[in-house]
Amino acid sequence: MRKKRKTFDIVNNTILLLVAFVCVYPFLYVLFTACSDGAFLQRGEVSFLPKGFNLEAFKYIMGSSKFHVWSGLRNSFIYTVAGTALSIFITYITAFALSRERVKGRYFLMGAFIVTWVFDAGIIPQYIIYSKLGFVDNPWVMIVPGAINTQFLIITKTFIEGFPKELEEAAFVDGANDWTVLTRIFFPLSKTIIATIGTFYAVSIWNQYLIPQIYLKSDNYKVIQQVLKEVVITDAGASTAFKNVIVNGITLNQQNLKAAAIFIAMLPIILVYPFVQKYFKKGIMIGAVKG
Amino acid sequence: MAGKRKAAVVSAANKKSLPQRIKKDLKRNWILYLLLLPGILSLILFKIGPVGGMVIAFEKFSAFQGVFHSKWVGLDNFARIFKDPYIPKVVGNTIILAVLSIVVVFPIPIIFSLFLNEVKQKWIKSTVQSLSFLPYFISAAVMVSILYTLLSPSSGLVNNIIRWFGGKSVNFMAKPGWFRPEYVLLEVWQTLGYSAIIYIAAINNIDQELYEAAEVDGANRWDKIFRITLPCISTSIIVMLIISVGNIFTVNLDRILLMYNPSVYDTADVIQTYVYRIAFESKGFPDYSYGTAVNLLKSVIAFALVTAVNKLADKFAETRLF
Amino acid sequence: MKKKLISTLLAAAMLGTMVAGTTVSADEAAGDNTYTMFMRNTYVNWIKELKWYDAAEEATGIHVEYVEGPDEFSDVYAEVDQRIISGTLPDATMTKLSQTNVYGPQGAFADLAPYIEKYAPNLQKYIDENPDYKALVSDENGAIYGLVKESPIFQDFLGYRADHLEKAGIDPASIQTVEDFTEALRTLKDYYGKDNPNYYPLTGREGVFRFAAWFQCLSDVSAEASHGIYMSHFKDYSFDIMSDNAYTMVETMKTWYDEGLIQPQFAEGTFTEGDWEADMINGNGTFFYDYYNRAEWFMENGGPEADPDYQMAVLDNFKDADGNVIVGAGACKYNEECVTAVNANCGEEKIKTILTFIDYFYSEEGIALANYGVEGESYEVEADGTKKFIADYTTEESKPEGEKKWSFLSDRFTVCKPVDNTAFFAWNAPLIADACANYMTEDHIRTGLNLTYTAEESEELANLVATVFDAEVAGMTSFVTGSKELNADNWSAFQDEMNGMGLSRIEELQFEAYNNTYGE
Repeated sequence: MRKKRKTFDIVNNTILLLVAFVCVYPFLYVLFTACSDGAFLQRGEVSFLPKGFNLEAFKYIMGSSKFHVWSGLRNSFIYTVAGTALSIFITYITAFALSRERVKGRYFLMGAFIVTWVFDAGIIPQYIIYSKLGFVDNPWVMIVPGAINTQFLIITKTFIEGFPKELEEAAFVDGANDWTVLTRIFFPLSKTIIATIGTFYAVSIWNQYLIPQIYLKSDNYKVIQQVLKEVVITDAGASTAFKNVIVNGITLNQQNLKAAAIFIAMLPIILVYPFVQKYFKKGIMIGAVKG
Repeated sequence: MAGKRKAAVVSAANKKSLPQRIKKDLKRNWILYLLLLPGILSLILFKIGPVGGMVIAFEKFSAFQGVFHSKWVGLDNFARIFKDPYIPKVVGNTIILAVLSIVVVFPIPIIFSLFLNEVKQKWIKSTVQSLSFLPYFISAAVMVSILYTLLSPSSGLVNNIIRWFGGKSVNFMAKPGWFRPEYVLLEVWQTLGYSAIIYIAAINNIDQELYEAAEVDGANRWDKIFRITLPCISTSIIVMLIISVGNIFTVNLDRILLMYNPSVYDTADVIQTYVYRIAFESKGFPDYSYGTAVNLLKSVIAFALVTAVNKLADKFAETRLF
Repeated sequence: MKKKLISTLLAAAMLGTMVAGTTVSADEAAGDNTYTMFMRNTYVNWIKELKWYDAAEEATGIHVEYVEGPDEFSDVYAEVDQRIISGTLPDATMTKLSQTNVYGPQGAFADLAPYIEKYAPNLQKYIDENPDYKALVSDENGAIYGLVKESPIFQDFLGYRADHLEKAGIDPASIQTVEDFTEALRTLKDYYGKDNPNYYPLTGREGVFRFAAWFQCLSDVSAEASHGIYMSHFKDYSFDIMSDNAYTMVETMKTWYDEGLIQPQFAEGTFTEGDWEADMINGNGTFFYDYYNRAEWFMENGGPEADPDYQMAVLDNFKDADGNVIVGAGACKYNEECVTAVNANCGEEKIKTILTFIDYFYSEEGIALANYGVEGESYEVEADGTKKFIADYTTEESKPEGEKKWSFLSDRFTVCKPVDNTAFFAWNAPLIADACANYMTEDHIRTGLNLTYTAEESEELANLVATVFDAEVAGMTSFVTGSKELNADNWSAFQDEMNGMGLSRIEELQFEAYNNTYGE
């Protein structure tokens, strides 16, 4: 019995660790490909570990103006930071106001948010309306229209509604108004929820592909996800050609450079992931709805 | 003081006329309404506006005449849907993808969570959970790019292995038959850790005494899994299942747009990609009205489905999505 | 306090966006001798390298600010659609004739006819002297919504690695027919394929059905009938699936595919330009059928560095069973996919600026500049009055990307201008220049015909072609790759399906257009 239990644990642990490894191995594979000497790749020799380790592919692709990798990263970063800040701010104040019983029509407004969330208008009417608002080829499209995500609004509102009434009432006794209640009392108590929706907003802006693909046309506005599509998937040839380049005696070829681009695009997420994953988990627990 | 204020509002509301009441309300709560302003603006411009824009489904929309002055054609665009030979194909593809996602993707995280729960070492548990959760945050563009790299016919790992065993390399990304397995694979990869978190949380909520009692009765590991754990998380499973059914028309659009090329249209073309193509990638002239009509029909059905499912979830598990 | 400030700022920024966003579109400022133009990015990059283009800007005192579009042609025109609906069209735009035909009368593009008369005397003269051009660009009311670019007349060439053939013991002169060619592919596959699993003797990019000419199943239009999709820009992909020869073509390509003679991704339609170039440079391919000077391009872009023996050559057109040269698909005189249109919101001053710039290239000075460059620098005049390049092709064209150079590849869309075909072929390295002298002759090329359509016909045709063409390619591909069995029944079912989708209607429209354009 004892022994059987032990065997099960070992097998179970091994299989689960293997599953986890399979989940992350593709990311490592990309890294290894980017770091390998293209001469080996050409012959299909690199399989599980890098061969002829070097970092030239990263240097080359970041330095080359042809690929827009650098500007894509910069833009994605700016949109993510600005968009997250604006989203948190607007979502929070809206959730706060909607959670106050004194606000007339709050159920109606909440209902409107929910209906427009569940009922998908589709990309075409959205394009027609947004284009009239001047969002075509305008970087603000990454920041402003998505500032309120209904799901996060609900989460935040539910969270605020969880504060005891006495908190607010005591403040009013001390002569506070709604704004000071929001900023001095509620906001400092909402750090978890803000961190949670903040990380979700940030990740969703960073990962967005469809919106920028439809709206952002100029190379200098494009985000890293679009650049990745152009570099890795479309690979348009001559004009952007990945010819084999030899840098310091190391061959860089298509696979090196593509892999480097992929790795660069996911690096920011991987870097912040360990620090914010607990907020992700929290968000899923509260929301328990597909984002 | 606060209590008094409330009483005053109520009594005032009973006495004063409507405009006076509004004025009073605004005076007292102006900060709240001001805080609501950006939200209302955003609601009207970015959420209600596009829904209103759907009116072009009933028009022959021309950019020069605009939403309000284009020619009204009633239900003509909807009539076209039923004659369009592509529609059965894209609807079929959409549903097949959704069903595959439910049948194949759905059970995997449950099994994964059950086994993860059996792990005693904390560090293994948290490492496995963190690593399997990571792909959820990686963008569709990165995921699909990685897939291209791994499956590249000339240099990808998979084809290198196939050739190692003496096989012929396969151009996976161009084979219609491979699209669905690839899509589902990405779905599993991306959502495994995410769904597992929900189940693991449900498992953690189970009363430990149940297990202790079972142990006293001589239950073994499998008994405990099948007799206690699984029944106890069945509510979560049902809710998750209901949600997946409600989302049957929701595909990962980014992923498909990045994965597909004309050679896999046969299996990869779904309602949303078809609408996208009509409007933004048309090689002829874009037909915004027709595309909107197709999408409108889809949205009405999806809306009814989600609403029904929400009721169902409420009844079953007292959980609502909204 | 700080938070108040931030919130105010954000609110202001949000409002600012709404206001600022609406002011993009056409530049209203007049008389500053500049205009903006939307164009495919590759063309813009090429323009930036052209020495003669700079000379033209200097001569006219007009500067064009290019707005870069996507790389794929279909994406470029889709973006024109979107720029029209979103009101973000610059002063001028690259577009295609069907778009100017449809959007022009609706009010997106300015009618240039009266302004050409007023401000562009050389262009007016060109229009008057070329009735076919006039018929093509003007609608039934005489309005001109777009200016079509003239194109050189040329066909694609079958380029190959001469060193490969030599090593494998194949005499290029022995390859006379498609059957000979298939045999040569087999020999090559045996020779190079045994050590290199990635080797396929025939490779190429994007669409694979560019071989229709070899099998004599090009689409066609005449006073009697119209076969297959016949549009001027279909040079490379012109085919008629109703012809028996098309069946032979698919059958042959299936043989190539099954025997590993053709790069499979190429056959499946997913081989990108980058993939193909890498293959040709790295010795994974021997033959390709592509843009006529590509053989030379590989000589200058990595071939000899990758393999010291690297040598390219060009094969003559194939011959039919009777030994007659099979005619290749040539370009049309006017490239309907390269059209300049002007935003209807432009004021007269702006239109004048745009037309003045274009008109320059129709003046004698402009024609010489765009086709030959500057006398004494890039060309000199011989005793008999003919012009001869003195700039060296290889030196100029191998300059690194982004550097200024002389270049005269007139099929590219730089500006609308008359084309000097002699100059076009003369501007080549000896390898290609010789091939042109032999194979770009009248008995080797069938010149495409431009057909004129009304707005309604243009719209209907474009929409039909958009679906039918892709379906044809997808259908033939599935036969080649074996996902559908190739037999007489399936083939005729495929033909019927295409007719049902609109192929027969397309042929009807083309036939009508032919009679309207060339009848009586």
